[in-house]
Formats: sequence, C-alpha cells, structure tokens
Amino acid sequence: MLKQSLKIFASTWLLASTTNADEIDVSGAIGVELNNYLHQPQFTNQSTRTTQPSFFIEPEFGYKIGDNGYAETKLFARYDPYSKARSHFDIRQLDYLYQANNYEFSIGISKVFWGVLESNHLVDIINQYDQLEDVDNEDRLGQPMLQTAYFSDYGTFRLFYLPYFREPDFLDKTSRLRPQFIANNNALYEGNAKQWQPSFAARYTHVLGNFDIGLSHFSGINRAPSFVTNTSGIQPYYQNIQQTGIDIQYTNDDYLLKLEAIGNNGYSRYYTAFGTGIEYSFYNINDTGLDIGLLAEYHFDDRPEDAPTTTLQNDIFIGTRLALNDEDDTTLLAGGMYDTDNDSIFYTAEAQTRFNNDFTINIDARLFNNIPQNEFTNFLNKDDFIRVTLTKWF
Amino acid sequence: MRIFALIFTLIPFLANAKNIEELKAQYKTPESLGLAISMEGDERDLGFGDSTVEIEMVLTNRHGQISTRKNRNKTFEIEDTSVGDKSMIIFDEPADVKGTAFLTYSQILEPDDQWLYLPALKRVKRISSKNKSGPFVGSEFAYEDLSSREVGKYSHKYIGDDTCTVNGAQLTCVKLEQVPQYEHSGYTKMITWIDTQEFRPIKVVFYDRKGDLLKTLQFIDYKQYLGKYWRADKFEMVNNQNGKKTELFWRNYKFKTGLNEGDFVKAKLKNIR
Repeated sequence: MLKQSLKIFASTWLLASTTNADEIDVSGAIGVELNNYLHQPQFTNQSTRTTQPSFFIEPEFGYKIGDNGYAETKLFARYDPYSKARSHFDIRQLDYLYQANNYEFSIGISKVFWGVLESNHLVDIINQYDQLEDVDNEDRLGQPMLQTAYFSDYGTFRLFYLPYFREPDFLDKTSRLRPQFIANNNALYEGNAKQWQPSFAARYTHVLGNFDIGLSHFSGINRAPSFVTNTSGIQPYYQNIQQTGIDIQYTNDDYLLKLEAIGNNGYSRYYTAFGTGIEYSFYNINDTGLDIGLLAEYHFDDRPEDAPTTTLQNDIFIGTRLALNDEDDTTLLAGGMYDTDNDSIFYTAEAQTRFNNDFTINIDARLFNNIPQNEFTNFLNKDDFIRVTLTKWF
Repeated sequence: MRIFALIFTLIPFLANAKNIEELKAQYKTPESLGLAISMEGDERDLGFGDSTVEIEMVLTNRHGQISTRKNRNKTFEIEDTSVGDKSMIIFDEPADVKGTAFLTYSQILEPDDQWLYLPALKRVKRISSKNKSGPFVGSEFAYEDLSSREVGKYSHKYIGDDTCTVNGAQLTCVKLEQVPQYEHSGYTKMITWIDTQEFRPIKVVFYDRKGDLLKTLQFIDYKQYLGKYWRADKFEMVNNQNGKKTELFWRNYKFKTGLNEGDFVKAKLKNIR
C-alpha cells in the first residue's frame, strides 16, 4: 500500500527536487509513551504487562518552491514492543500546494479537517482514522487527494478528488484496546475497483457575521467499515455512500453554539445524525489568568443495522477545559460521554504542560465505565488506562 | 531624483500635521485636547498599508528565569477609523506550538473576531475574543495590550506635560489619561506619555480593576520607516505587582509588502506560513 502511495506521488517529489528549493524547514517531535493499564486484560493473548512503553517520531519538512508553491512532508512512525500492529508507519502528509490570490490547488497526501464539535467529528469524512493510536478518534491517516479551492466574497468553494482509499489497519491479538474478534486485513469493497475506486467531495464555507458555516457533500467509499463474518473470518466491508453534511458555529461574547448534521444514503435506508453543543467560557478568573470553559454536547444517530456501528445514538458529553495561560501553556480537558440508552460512561482527561522550552509532558486518562455485555464496545471494559507521554520537539 | 521623491512624500504630511502648540491653542478642554493629540498620532501613522515583522518575546519571572518565544505578525491596515485593522500572528517557537496562528479582525468597541489555527489537527476554530484582560501566552502582555490601538477604543484626557527620554534624548511629552471604552478590559485607566515631536507613545502605566498600579510599558529605540512611520524596536512591560517582566523585540519590519485584504481570511489561515 505504501509502495503504491509512493508511486502515485513520485511526481510531487520530482517537482520538489527539480525546483530550486531555497530553504528546507525541518521540525517535528520524538517521544516516549507509557501506557498504564489499570486491569488485567479481558481476552487471551492480550499482553498482560501493566506498563507498556512505546516510542514515536514525527518529523516534518517544508520546502518553499517559488513565490507561490510549498511542499510539505510529515511522517509518523511508532514502535510498540507489546503490539505488532501498533508499531506502524504512516505518511501523514506529502503534498505540493500552489497558492494564488483567489484560488489554490494541492496534490499529494494531505489531511483536512471539517467541523466544529469537540467530542465527536461527524461531518469530517475525508481522512481515515488512525485506529492504532488512541480511542479518541483524533489521529488521522494521510489521504491521497487532488484539492482545489476558490476564494470569493461569497465564500470558499473546495473540490476534492480522492483517487485511492487508505485502508486502516486494526489492532492485533496481543494489543490492549482491541475487539474480541480481530478483523483480518482482507477488506471487502462494494465497488469492483476496490480501493482504487475514486471518491469525490465538495465543500463550501463562509463567515457571515457571528456565524461560521460549512456545507459539504461526499460521494464514494465510506471511511468506516461494516464487518461481515464468513469462512475467512471477520472481514471489514467498505460500502459506497453519499453523505451530505452541514456544520455551523455561532460565536458570541462568552459562549459558542455548535451544530453538525449529516444525511447518509448508502445502506438499507437513508439515515441522519447530528451533534449539537454549547461551550461557555469564564476568562481570566480573579485576574489569575485562569480560563475555565464548560462544554456540553449531545449526539444523535438513527443509522440502520447494516451501517457501520456507532456508540453515539443518543449520548451526552459534559466536559471542562482549563487553561492556566502560564508561560508553559498548561491545559486540562476532562469530561465524560454518557450513553443515555445503556447508562455507560466513557471518561476522558487530557493534561499538558511544557518544560525546558522544547519538551512537553501529557497525561491522558481514558476510563470505560459500565459498558453492558451486549454493546459492541464492551471489549474496552477492562482497558482503562493512563497514558504519560514525554515529547521532545525540534 | 531622490530628494524630489522625498519632498513629494513630505508635502501632504507637512500640510496636515499639526504641532502641539497649534493643538493646545485650538482645543481648550482637557478632553478635546487629549482626543486631538491621540488623533494626531493616529493620523501620522495612516497609510502604512500593510506590514510584517518578526517578534521575539522574552519572559522573565521574579527569580530571573527566562523563557523565549518567537512569532511573526502580519497587519493589514483598514483606513476606515470605524473598524480596526486585520492581523495575523504565526508562532514559530516554542517548537510544540510552531505553526499555530491567530487571525484577528479588530473592532473598536465590540469584541474582535478571532480564529485560531491548530496545525496538528489542521483545524481552524472561531474563538470568543471576550478574553481581553487575560495574559497572552503567559506573558505580562494582555490580549488587549497587543490588539490594534484604535483611537475610538479609549477616552482621552490631557493631564499635563512631562519630560521623557526617547532614543537617548530628552524630549517633552504630554500625559494622557485613557480609559478603555470597550467591555471586559482589565484596566480602570492608563496614563500614556506621548512625545510632542512625533506623537509617539513612549510610556504607558496601567491601573488594574481595583485602581492600583499594575504594569509599566516602555517603548524603546524608535526607528522611522518609509520616512514616515515610527516603530519601537523594543517593548518592555514590567508588572509592578509581581515583578515579572516581558520584553518584545521587533525585528525586520517591512511595510507595503503587497499583502492584500483577501490574504486575511479564515479560509487561508491553514496555509499561512
């Protein structure tokens, strides 16, 4: 897969190397992560080590090409001695961008972000989740694409052509946080061209006073698979979908109102899902510099049985965000996602601070509370963990 | 040829510029004189078009420990005085925040419109900018100290003359009492020293919400650009209550760089560098 990706984008490299790149900007991060599991694992073959270290590196290279061009490369690699699958490599970005006054285009492996919510990203569909990194769905795989944007007084119009589908890998049998039955990597596709079937997307964004608005449509291979069981075991099955999305944020003095909604056509019936939320902030409390933000989000999803499973059919997220606004940019985000259908709660907390100018330390906790037997995420029940990450930035 | 060019650029400037004696003769109340002085300073800075500058921020805590930040600023001047300028701050150091960027549309009395770009997520977020009084990245500068200083944001009252030191020379300054007119300011008032030669701010003393002395800001080593626009090489902000200090070093100022208003839009924020 990697070889194929490289082949498609050899032209990008060629362009970058033959043009007079005047300045290469190198940066990135290298670090060690300690995963501390609070319980013994649920399934046989899962590693019983309570503390599992792993190592990662994420270098970035930027090259300015002429006045309007920019090539960017961002690589990611992790070595995890306790999970073969989690030891992985990804090209997060390898693209060339050309910017003019009222338009731009890019070619290569890129990442885009759509949406406004914090506890789920509903409309954001271009890039695959990197399911090996974390359970928070914030890490994404690079996606090969041709992208063009047109900027006008009436908003920004973007078109995406996605010639190749990045198939995500799944955790393997020694890994924690894995499902009971592991899907194999022989993915099935609805389309005959399999991952070479192109997908397309269009997006319009505009700022109207206090409203930030986004409208999007995606046509192609769904980023999330359904799973089918047959003689060769459990296989991921990627179907073709049409998905329309809208995202709106209203920004006021001290609160933000957010809405994301999708309509999806591709399964046994058309379905809709939405998420809506409010974020209220208290700034510079008692002139200490401390900001406290309160977040509440609600998620609804009425997808049919044959669509990829979601846990967010009827869920409420309540959280708080603290920023000390000190010279080390110390922050804390903590919250819980409550499933109103089965009373389970997923707790999450993330803290970060900086020291010695180019080191950061992160402490993340994820606790899965009371997930019932019949819920598919029940496999996480014994996987509560606290993760400490030490990162050196360069 | 060059002399002619210089004369031509100076003609409108000389025709419009007023000196402090003229202003004092024309405006009799402390309020009208204060406003006239601030407007004169603003007028002399009009027409810079756009500017780019590199900023090094040195934070010193009360134990003398130092941390450094580097960022770049791009400003697009909006000549209409009823709205503020548009600007961008791009972070270069510390390395973990490299590429983070703020886009701000300054307003006069309303909160600014502000967007934040987070490079790791490739995400642009509209943020509430009610937060005027909070510290900017842990420094002694509040957000309101760094947003564009539009005349309409404050009331202006002339309170007397004083001597002041500018680039090593003793000059005469006027003292203005300025009170923020927008909501959520951390200050009850500011006393600003403005030199009567070029109408540049030389020193600002800030009083907190209780009315106590909070901070002192000094503008050090002024340089003139394009024969007209004065910018200080260094801002030094000392917190008189906790002893902390933040110095801003402004380097490599460029004016009329060809930036246009369309570069200062949310949709382009993620490709800013």
